[in-house]
Amino acid sequence: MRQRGYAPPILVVPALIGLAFLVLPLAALVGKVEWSTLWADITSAEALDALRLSFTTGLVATAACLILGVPLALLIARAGGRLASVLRAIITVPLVLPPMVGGLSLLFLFGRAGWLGWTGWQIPFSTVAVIMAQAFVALPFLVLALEGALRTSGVAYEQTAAALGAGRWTIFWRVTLPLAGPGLLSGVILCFARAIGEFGATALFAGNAPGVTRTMPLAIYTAFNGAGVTQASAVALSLLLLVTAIAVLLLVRAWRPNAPSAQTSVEGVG
Amino acid sequence: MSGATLDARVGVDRGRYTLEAEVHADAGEIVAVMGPSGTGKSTLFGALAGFIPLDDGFVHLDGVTMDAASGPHVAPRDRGIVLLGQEPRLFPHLTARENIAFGPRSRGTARATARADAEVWLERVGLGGLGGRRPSELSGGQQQRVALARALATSPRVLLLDEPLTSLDPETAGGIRALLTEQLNETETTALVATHDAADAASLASRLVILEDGRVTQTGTVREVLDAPATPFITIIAGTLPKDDRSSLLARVVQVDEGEGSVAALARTADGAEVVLQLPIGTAIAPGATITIR
Repeated sequence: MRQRGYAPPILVVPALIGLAFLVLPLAALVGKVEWSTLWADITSAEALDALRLSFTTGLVATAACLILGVPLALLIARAGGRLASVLRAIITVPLVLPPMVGGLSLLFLFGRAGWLGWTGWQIPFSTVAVIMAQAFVALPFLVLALEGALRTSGVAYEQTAAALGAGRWTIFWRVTLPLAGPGLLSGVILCFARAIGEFGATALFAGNAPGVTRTMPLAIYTAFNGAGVTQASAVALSLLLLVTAIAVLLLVRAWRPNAPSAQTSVEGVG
Repeated sequence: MSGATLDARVGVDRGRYTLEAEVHADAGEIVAVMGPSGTGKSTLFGALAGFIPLDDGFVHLDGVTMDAASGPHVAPRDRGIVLLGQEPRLFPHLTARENIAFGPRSRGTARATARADAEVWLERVGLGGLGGRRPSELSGGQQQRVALARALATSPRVLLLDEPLTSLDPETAGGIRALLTEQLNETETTALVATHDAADAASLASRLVILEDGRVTQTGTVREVLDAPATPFITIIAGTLPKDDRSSLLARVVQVDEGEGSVAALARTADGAEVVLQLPIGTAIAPGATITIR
């Protein structure tokens, strides 16, 4: 028996309008695709540049997020109490912040006139800046997803492993991370998706130089804002991003149900 | 492979609650620890294993200090004291075989050797052929068997068993009890077994330590303690043990009342005499049960 509840039936009208509002624009995008020239559009020099740049920077940014994010998630998950709440709130800020503001902030830290300007590092408007902008907006996704999983799995299994003679690194690799595996995986996928789609922070901090900082979202924007990229290429790239997004969703969904039920209880003492 | 001599005085101060208990186990000896719920058995075991810091006292293994309030504090992994709790806590992402091989692998045994040994252990605990199963594909009793094999595979110097039979149904518990007796004796492992059940203590252990309110109230061989109970609690647990002498009375529990801090059981003997037993909270007793009153 399906539970239909007691909602007023008329509410189905705004519900369907809302659904259409989300779906129709994407359908329109797909409708705009020139299927006959799709392959040529995607493999045009500008599109290919953007594609290559997006995937390499996205992958490097995700790797950087892993290296920094896993320890950060562990730190928060094991901090406990108020400290954990504060840290979690800090992590969430970049998540809800308009990416433009993030890009501006990065500029004020790493730019020539910024806090770290004295170092002489030439970071802004380089490919490194693209990666940093992506990592800045994507890191919270990985940290929050993994932190939740780590907190849920607790330390009881780690204690068991320690009593069996495992050292800290062995416990980390063979117990802690595998137990948080599903959370880590969805965190990585979300992180990569967010990095690939990054626009605002990249535009401000890295600019829009073809082949250097012009990722797919910037290429799409450029196409409708002047020269450099054809509109057909922009549509083709948009389609590619849409397909990527759907693939990411399916990946996350496909893994979640198989997640081993995490044991939350920590054996009490006393 | 044999156990170490354990000598410990464990002092843990938690403000409202303090534990001050001395325990001793000779090499290869099995000592039972009994006491009401919340009396500090798990704290004692946690402190011995190194997960709870000592506020006072020491833990010596074969005369070597593993822990002392003033230091040193040997890390849990280096003590060789393995704690096996009520929950088997098998690593859910590893197979039964990998679970058993985990300890030896962590201590540097080659993968192939550790796996082959794990296979032998699976046979010994009666689970030959099930090595490829994940914990979720094993029953509670099978999981407890794997947990025991995993603990013994590390050749622990002391094995701490915290109510290993409590969460199992009676039939399964019986099988595990027999297995414990057999394997602990065969491997000459020094072991402390916390239990609620005098029958477990009597069948597994040679000596008994009674812990009440964080203090040891009586200690000796299982017989000595149960034959001459020093406190009401010990009298009660001694009464739950089947006796063959005729001086005891059989009584049937007719009513059970859960009160504040204790369970009151009204029992009636065959000739109509009634007695009210004040049992520790959490005691599994139901109307219709037969008890022995000495």
